[in-house]
Amino acid sequence: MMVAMIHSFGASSRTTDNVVSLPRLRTRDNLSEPVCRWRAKVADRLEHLVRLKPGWDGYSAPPVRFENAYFALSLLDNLLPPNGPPPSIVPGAAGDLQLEWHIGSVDIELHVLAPNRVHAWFCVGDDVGQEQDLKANFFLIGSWIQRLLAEVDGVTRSSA
Amino acid sequence: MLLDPPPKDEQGSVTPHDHRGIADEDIVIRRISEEQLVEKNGRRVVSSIAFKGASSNGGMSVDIEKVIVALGHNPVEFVTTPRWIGSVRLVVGELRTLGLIVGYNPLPDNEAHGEVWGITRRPTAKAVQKAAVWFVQIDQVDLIST
Amino acid sequence: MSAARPDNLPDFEKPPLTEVVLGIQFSTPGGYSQIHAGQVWNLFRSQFPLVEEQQPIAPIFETFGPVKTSQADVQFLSGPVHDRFWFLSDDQSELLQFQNDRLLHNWRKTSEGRPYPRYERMRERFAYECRRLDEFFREEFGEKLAITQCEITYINQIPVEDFQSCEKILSFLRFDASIPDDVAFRSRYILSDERGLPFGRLIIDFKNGYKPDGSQVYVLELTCRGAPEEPTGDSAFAFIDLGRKYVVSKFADVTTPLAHGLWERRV
Repeated sequence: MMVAMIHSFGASSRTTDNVVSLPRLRTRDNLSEPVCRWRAKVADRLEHLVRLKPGWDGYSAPPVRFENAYFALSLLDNLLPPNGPPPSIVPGAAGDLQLEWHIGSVDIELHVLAPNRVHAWFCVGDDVGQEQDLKANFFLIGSWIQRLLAEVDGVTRSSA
Repeated sequence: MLLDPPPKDEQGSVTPHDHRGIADEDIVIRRISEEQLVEKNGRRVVSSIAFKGASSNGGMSVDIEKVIVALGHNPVEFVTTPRWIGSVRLVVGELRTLGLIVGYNPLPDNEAHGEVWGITRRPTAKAVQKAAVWFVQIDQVDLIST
Repeated sequence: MSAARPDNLPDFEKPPLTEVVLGIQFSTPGGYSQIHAGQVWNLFRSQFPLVEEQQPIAPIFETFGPVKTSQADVQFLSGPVHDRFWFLSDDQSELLQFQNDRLLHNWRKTSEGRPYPRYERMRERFAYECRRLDEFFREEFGEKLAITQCEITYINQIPVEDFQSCEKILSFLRFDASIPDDVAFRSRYILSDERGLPFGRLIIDFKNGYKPDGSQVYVLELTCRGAPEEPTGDSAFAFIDLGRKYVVSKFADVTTPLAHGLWERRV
C-alpha cells in the first residue's frame, strides 16, 4: 500500500492562520536536488508495520507504534544520504522496530525501542562488534554509515 | 493445571520467575514471523529482534512443549497458527546457562504460554539465536547467518 | 518549579507578538482511545469551556546526524485517526490543544481577549495542566506521562506599512537593487550543550502575506524544539525554559535596532 504523501497532516501547533501567503508554484524540477531513493520504500514498509494485526507474531505483539515509525523516519532523514541503501525494517514484540543493513561484511542494527531510545550495533566481518545506546544524536554513528556506503561501493564494483 | 500457578503482582500480572516445574531438559518453542526476516548477502535470515524480549516486561514469549502435549494438542499444529508462521525449539537448560529464567504465563487463548526473561542486550539475544534449531522451518530461510 | 525571568533577557514594551505556544509530545498510553478525550476536557473545562475539533498534528522529532534529507510530509494510516481538540477559554484568547500524543497551551492575540499573560504565567498554567494530565494517565491507564518532545513557539505579525521592506526588520538581510515583493525563508540551528552535543533545534520561519482585511504583514515565527533530558515534567519545563531564552534572544538578534525602537525595547 502506498503511503499517503500529503502536504500537511493538519497544519501545525499555531492557531492563528489568518495570513495568506502568495502561492509558491513549483514550475520546474530542480535537477540539482538529490532524489531520495530510499524514502518511499521505507515509508511503505513503516506503513505496513503500523497496520500489523495484533498477535502478528503468533503471541500478543501489537503493531509498531506510530511514534516509533515517525522517529525511525526522522532518524534515517538525518543519517542516510539520498543514495544510501534502504534498511530492512523488522517489528519487535512491543511496538518497537529495528532498522538493519547487512551488506558484504558490514552489519548495522538500530533497535528503536521508543523515541529517543535507540540501541545501535555495528560489526565488520567476524568482529564482536560495538554497541551504543543513543537518544537523538546520530552524528556518533555517521562513520558506520560511511563504512556501509563503502561496502556498497565495493559490492557493486565486484559484481559489475 | 500441569504446572503450578505462576507468581503475580498486585495488578494480577505474572512477574518474572524461574518455574520449578519447567525442567532443564524441557523444550520451549518460539514462533518466528515472516515479518522478522531480513536479507543478508542474497539469503533470507531471521533477525536478531526475533530473540529479544518485549520491552514492556522484558519477556520473550514461548510455548512450553510439554504443556501443549498435556493439553492433547500436536505441538507442530499448535504453533503453526496463523498457518504460515515458522518456529524454533530451545532447550530450557541452555537458556538457563545463559543466565536467563524460564517461566509459565498461561493466557486465555494459549494455556501453554511461557516466557523467557533476561534477554536485555543483543549479545544475549544472539546467544539464544545460536542455541535455537528449527522446529517448523520457513522455506529457504537461515536461522542464523553463515 | 516556577521560572523567574532571566536577567538581561531582551524585553519589549510593544513586541509584535500575536501567538505563543508551549507544548509537549508524549507517548500515547496503552489503552487510550478517543473516547477518553472527553475525560481530558473535563480536567480543564472550568477554564476552557468551549471545544472545537481539528485535524491532528503529525508526530515530529528533532534528531541529529550528518545528513539533512529534504523531508516531505508523510502520514501513516492505520485505523481511526485521533482528532485534535481545542479547549478554548471564554474569550478564545487561550486554549489547550489536545490529541492522543500532544498537549499544547496557546495564547493568541484577539481583539477582545486578554493581553499576553507573559511567559512566566503561561508556564505556570501549562505546568499545572501537564501535572493534571499526568495524574489522569496514572489513574486511568496506570502509566505516567512520558514526554518525548517539548516545544516553545513565538509568532510575530509585523505590519509591512511599519517598515516598507523586510530588510529594515531583519538584521542580516540586504537587497542590492530592487526589493522583492515576496519573501520566504526558513533557517534551522542545532542547539548544543556544554559538551558540544546536540539537544534541540531553533527554527526561524519568515514569510510575507495578507491578512483577511487585505493588509500586508510579515510573519516571523521562532520555535525551539527537542527532547527533554528525561521524559518527565520537570525535565520538559527545564527544556522549555531554555528554549524560551533561545527564542527571545534570537528574536532580538535577527531584528534591527530600528525595529527594536518601534517595539520599545526595554532590556
